[in-house]
Amino acid sequence: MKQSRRDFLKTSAALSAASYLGVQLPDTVSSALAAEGDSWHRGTCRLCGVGCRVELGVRSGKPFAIRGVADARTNYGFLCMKGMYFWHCIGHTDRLTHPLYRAKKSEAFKQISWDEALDIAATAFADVVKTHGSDAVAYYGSGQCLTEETYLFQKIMRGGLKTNNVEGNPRLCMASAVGGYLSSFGADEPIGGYSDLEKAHCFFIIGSNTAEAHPVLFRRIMRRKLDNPDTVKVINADPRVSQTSRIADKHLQFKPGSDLSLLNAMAKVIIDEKLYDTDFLANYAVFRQGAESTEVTFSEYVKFLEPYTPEAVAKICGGNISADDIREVARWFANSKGTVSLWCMGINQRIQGVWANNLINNLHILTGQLCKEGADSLSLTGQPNACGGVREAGGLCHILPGHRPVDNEKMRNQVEEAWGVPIGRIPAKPGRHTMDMFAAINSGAIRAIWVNCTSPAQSLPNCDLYIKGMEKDDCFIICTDIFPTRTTELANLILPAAFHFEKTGVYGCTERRSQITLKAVDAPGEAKPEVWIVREWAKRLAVKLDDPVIAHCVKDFDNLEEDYALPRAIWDEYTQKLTAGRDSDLRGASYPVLERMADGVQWPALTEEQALTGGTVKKFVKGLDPLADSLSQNDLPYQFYGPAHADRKLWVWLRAQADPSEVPDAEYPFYLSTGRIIDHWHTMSMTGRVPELLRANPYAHVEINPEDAKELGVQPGDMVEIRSRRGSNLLPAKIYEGPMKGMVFAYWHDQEKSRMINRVTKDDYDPGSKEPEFKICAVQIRRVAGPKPIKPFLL
Amino acid sequence: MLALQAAEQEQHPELEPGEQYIPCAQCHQEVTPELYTEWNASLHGIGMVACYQCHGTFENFRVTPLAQDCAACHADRMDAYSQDQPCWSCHVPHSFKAEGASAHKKEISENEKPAQ
Ligand code: SF4
Repeated sequence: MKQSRRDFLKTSAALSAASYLGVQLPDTVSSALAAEGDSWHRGTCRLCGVGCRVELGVRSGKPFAIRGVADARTNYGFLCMKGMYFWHCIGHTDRLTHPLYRAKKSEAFKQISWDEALDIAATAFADVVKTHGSDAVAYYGSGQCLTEETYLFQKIMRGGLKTNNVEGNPRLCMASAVGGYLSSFGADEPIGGYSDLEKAHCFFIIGSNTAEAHPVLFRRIMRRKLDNPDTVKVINADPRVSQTSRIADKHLQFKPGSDLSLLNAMAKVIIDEKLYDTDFLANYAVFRQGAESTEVTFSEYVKFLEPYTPEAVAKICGGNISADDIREVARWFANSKGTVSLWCMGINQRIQGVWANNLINNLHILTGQLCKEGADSLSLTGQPNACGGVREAGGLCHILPGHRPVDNEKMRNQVEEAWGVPIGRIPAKPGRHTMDMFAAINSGAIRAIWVNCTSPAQSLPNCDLYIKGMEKDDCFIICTDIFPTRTTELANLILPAAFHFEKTGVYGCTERRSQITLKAVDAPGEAKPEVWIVREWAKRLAVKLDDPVIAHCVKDFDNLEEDYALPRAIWDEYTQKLTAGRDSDLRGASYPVLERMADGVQWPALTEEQALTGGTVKKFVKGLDPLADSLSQNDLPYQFYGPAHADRKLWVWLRAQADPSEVPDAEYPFYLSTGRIIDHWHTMSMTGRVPELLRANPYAHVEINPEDAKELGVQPGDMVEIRSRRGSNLLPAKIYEGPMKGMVFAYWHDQEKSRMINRVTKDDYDPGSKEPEFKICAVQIRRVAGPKPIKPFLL
Repeated sequence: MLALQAAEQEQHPELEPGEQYIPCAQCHQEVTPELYTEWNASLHGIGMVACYQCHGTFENFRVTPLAQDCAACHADRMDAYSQDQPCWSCHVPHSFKAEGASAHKKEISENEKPAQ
């Protein structure tokens, strides 16, 4: 069924060179070897949540190369192609270099000065606050902002403007993992980390194409497997066979949405065959169910699991796996000397995302595969600073900095005191979560929003619905970004931001690890670091709203130069005042310490002395985690002191199978799932501008199982319409034994309107985490035409 | 055929703009199947290190990668490496298996460096 090269060329040769996207061609072959006069600058990769350490080579004020840092325990020197090339964005001719403004969205943008831009931004927010109240303004940030940026933005919104309408795109990717960790372990973020990968004897990878979405971690797992082919087992559970499956001993291909059954069936095997860890359960666990977290007995749990026999569940999973497959993987999981589970969006972006997280965590609690070497329940994070910035520094509507819930008065007061703002200044009610925020733009309840470093017009599910609201003139939109996006198209005011290595700040990756990137080159034109933009905006807001408390929020940062002193002062305030005494204590991770460490610091790290050892590799373990020692209440080696569980226990949850929000029917007979491809990052505004990366995957495809393709009469390269109840796409087909029969899969990076798959996906969300179910919806598939020449597209 | 010409010219044969958007491996699976198979089975293939990461793209294409290309990921090996031998004299292209005695001045233990 393969399309021949000649066929492809025939269809594409008709296009002239001039009609192609104007890619900026590389002018030099990159060199990672130093020459005299070159300088190498400390930082991390700009892209995924792995957090690879890099050094940027600078020659005559311009970047010329990048290299991995061999001493860093994140990546040991390795980089994927995105890490190798992202720095090409630094000098790109498409960069936004001046503030741009238009009063109405039908008008063309005009270049304006920073003075005018900051005034317009302050007036827009102040006017809305005066006429519609504080909750009519909102901030929507990103897991790609520096921690200092997220922290300062949310401080101005909460302490200054008195609203908790603070959100960010991590709501779309890891909110379910947060909910899962808090409800299972009583504390957010993983107990262990990457160092477990080289010690693990079993990997359970579910709902993650690690090979493409977290490439350098995948290489570590690959190496562990290939070096120990007989003693290390890799289980890959996913409705789609992917590159990750290449190292798997067993691929469990389950029907989309049957994951809860599969995980319960594994638990049932562990119980029935007595593979659980009796001592671990007796010392550390309780069983709970329902909205009230009611405690139940072990026998009630056993009874709950009765329907999940491997035989019954193999059928529910769609018939591609057998009961014996389920038994075998459950035994591998339980019996190994150390098991690490890894998951990502396939589990999180589900309407039962929190429950699915709980059921993975259950397997670790039952078997005691936690807290010891080579064992962890490790949620992979998509973005480079979703954990450090958004999860830890108060970037979501229901959390304040330092893992503090907004709806807890004591916690709010601690923050108010730290900021020196009046007690009661921060509203008690959490703000609007992401989907609610954009629904409120549609309804006119939110009248001004600041979108920072993300493109919701492309990345929200069912995006057409929300674009309608953003297009209207009754919501004033400010965007800070480095390139035009589908969202800057809808803005009134575009503010040019400094890029990675053009400013200084901290990223915190998947494993509780904070690392610093130092400014190495100047930003182009008038582009500015966001921390400068927010500070200057806040000063003007204070005048326009005649509110000295807003001015007070940035008083300590006034007059500091923005390349180093300003972010350092913000980091110091956040870490010293707001992480002190919290589980995410980062007081030891000062800028000077971060600048000395090969690979940053893992919290908790209460003192510089602790931080200089690298911090805490395993939470909750006495002798490894300083808080486990200082908060110890008994002689047991593990102390689960997390803030969410007063009983200091791990909770095994009774969570029943529940269907996705939309399942195929006669009218929409296929499942659609979406995901990432290795060469591109999110909405492609960066990676699409690097010729090497663009050419590797210039546009989105739809993957169709060969059996389905045969029934539908679809040949490779044919143009196929995917239609849901919400919208449609027209995509070239890849015929591939990836997705299981009855399911198609599409990439989500393409900016071209007819290939933006989030016009098709569904916007229902998990009632607990409020994370939408991007991964599953029902669609029709129809062959529209034979292969057509396709142009890559970038705004 | 393509590879042969390229080896002679040290540059990639002219491609139409449309052809430039075909991933390298898609063509080379057909035109140089033995190289593709070797790469695909190697650590680079399983770990998804793509052709362009070593050979560049059209405008900066090189048949034989430079030591600098290796250095983006293997900078430490460069430091520990005898400069008089190119990587390819020991590491077989596309399978990357080392032949003969190591030319690296210092070897790095498995535990220190888990993911080579
Ligand atoms: S794995 Fe992630 S952090 Fe590492 S180089 Fe690739 S994109 Fe960057």
